[in-house]
Amino acid sequence: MTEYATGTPQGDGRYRYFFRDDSSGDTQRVEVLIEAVDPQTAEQLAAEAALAEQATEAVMNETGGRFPHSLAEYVGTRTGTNGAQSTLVLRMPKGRGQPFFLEPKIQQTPGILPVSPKVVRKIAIDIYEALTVLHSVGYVHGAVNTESLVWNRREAVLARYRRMASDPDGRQGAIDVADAARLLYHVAIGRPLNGDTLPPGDQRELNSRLFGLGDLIAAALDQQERRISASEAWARASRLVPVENSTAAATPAERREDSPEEAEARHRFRAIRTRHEDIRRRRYPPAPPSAEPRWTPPVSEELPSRSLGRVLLDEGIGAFARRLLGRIGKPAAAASRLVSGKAAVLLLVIVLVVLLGRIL
Amino acid sequence: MSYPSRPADLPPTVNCPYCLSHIDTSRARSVIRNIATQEVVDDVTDAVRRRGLLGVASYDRGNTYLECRREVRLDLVQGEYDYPGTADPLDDMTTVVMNRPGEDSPTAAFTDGIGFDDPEEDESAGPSPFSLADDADEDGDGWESTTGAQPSPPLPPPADENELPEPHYIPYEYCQVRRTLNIGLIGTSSSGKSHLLAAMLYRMQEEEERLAELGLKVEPFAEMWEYYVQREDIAGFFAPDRRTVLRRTSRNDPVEFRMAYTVTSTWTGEETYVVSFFDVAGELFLDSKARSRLQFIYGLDAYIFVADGQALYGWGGKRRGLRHPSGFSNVINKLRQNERLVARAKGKTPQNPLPQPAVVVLAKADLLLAQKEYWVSRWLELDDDFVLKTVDEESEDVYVYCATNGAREWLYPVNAFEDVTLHFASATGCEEQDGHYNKRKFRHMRVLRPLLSLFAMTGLIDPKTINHAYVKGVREPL
Ligand SMILES: Nc1nc2c(ncn2[C@@H]2O[C@H](COP(=O)(O)OP(=O)(O)OP(=O)(O)O)[C@@H](O)[C@H]2O)c(=O)[nH]1
Ligand SMILES: [Mg+2]
Ligand SMILES: [Zn+2]
Repeated sequence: MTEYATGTPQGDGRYRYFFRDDSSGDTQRVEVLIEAVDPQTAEQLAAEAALAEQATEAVMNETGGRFPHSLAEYVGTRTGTNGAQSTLVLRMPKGRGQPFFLEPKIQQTPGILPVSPKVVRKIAIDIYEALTVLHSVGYVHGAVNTESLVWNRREAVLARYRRMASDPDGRQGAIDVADAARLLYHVAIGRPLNGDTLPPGDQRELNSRLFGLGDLIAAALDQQERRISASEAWARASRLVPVENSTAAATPAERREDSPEEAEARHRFRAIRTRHEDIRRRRYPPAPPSAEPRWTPPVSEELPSRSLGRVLLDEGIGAFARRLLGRIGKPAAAASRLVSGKAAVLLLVIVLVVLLGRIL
Repeated sequence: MSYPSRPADLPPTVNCPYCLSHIDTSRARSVIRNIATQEVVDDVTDAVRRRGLLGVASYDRGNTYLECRREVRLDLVQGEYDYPGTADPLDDMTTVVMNRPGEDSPTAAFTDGIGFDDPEEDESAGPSPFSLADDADEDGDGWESTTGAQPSPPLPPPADENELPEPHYIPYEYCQVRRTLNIGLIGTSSSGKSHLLAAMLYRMQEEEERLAELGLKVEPFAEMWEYYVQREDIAGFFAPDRRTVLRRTSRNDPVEFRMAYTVTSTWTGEETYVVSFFDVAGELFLDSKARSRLQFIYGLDAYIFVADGQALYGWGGKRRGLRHPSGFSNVINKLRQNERLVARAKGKTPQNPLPQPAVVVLAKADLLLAQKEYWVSRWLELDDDFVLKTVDEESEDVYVYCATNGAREWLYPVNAFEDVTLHFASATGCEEQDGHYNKRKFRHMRVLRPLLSLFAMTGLIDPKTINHAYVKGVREPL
């Protein structure tokens, strides 16, 4: 077994991360080595190691030795490579393929965000599971963000304990819940959330990608006293439903300019279409007006209708004419006497014109 | 045998969708068939004459067929059933009369059954570091196979692979509906017809709600859906954990529609139609000997031309031509000849373009997407089956793509039919490997859209949904 077996190290300027096979020989797990690059971070890392040890012990005591997949387990500290001051060793499930911390990965390849709805769902489940466990043993994580999270192609693992603190009465946990929601927003949308609340548009957008995600994030960012707990968030996360093809748009992107050859083909197609439409018009002439649905005036039958004079006064000649036509279209009994009179005049005119035509 | 009366629940004559003859229902037999073996197992003519379909046990009604055989066809020359053999050279393309039955030919067991193993898992991790391993989703979206695999039924092939089987059978309930819309898939061997149809039918089942928004209530006709998904390969194709390849359509398969739906449309005033789909072996379209099996194409109300995206060759942003012909022109020529002949018989001028709508589907477009071809990538990944206002815009682009990539042959239908739209689609989203599709890459891409466009062009739904006008409307009853 080589010391740093799996993949190239990651780094963020303050720490370097190495992944290697598990030193106890467990093939289902790997170890991550977190190495400080200067004396100052080495000090912080030593403090973090103490916190990690505490948390691991607390979880072990609570669960009787079993450790959740979603939380990294303290293994030990050692002197680092390359003269580094100190190295923290944590253990986590192996997953599939090279694991990585999110933040350095995103820095390196920003294009990996946003991640697919199924992955968002898995991250949501795991991160809230980890928080549920931590909170249940009386601790808060204190630094839930892309720097603390590892993805191993199968699950997400909370793998830093920098600001962990004990939280005996459980009041601080709400911050973790909100931080995790921010993280989910970041990976699902592709950029960090601005502000403290979720804009309604984003909530809809998130729901349309992963049904329920927008609502979950909104509830996790709610005012502290109304905010859901980590275990509620965990339960909700496992009910999220990826929406098929959620990233697919429904209308095409702007068309690029045609080459001359393409423009010619397009023109030809349009010409054929027009010609065929003309042919169809002759073949299937529109039904005679009587068969068409009769136009009805957009006036509710319940309301007392205004007089035509009123309409002319209020809305002008166009509305007046439409209204008049509408009334003529109605059964005579429903029409007012005035309108009947006008209709009669109209009819008379038509008859006269027809007669005149005949005579000529 | 002779019976005094016709069944009360049938009209005096019924149009056979397969040989296009008029059947005298007072003489035709009604039979029950075993759907698996296609064999006639019972003669229920008497019962049906007395009480109509109610005379048949309810569980057998879906298996009741009207028999179309020479003796009951009204189109035959009085007195004799001989092959008319007129001098007109066009006549042999298009006789409205059924020819030369091969009644006493032997039947042989269908031997093309294929046993499908479980699909191989694609072990390689996806291209993105954020890919999710197959087994990650433990509490998963739990799609189980719902279509239990049935052993592939042995089909008795017809007497002559070129001839329409004689007699042949029409679902009894099909004979009862007055309005039908027959849709045929046209395309050469292996162009992707059967896959496209399967994907379309599957999506139809899935999209009840959005079809309702278009004013359509769609239900499988009789028990046809159950029979359809009983087929081993269809069941495997639909099963999310199997995704097996459909078998090639045998040229000996009975010429019967694969599937039919009863469709009620608010646009046509709550009329009920039977919409049926024909899918035969592509080689028949290129084979001049197969004309009697192809008789059905003259009775179709709408055509789906399936262009094989795999047939394009040449890379580097430009395709240079087709590896094999599409068969479209053969079919179009046959239809035009038939149109001329029928028009002449009626003393009318032949209609040009042909008076039906058609769609051209550039199938297997996933293969073109993989080449990052601009026109395909502009459309194929859209989720726009129901966004029909862009159909004309898409049609233009597909036309432009074909015209400038050596595939002008695929555009013949555009000139030949009175109303045509063109589409990019993929039934599977990925290529087959050893009889399976990769379960993660498998998806139906835009397969419903051509069908909905066809519905608009036939007037089954409002043609304005695709911004077309002047459609014939669904065929009037006899
Ligand atoms: N890549 C890709 N391949 C496809 C698609 N649809 C079908 N194929 C492949 O094309 C081949 C033929 O498909 P079929 O649907 O059986 O073709 P057909 O037109 O019915 O062929 P016949 O029954 O012989 O007339 C199969 O090997 C399929 O794997 C698709 O959407 N994408
Ligand atoms: Mg086929
Ligand atoms: Zn027939």
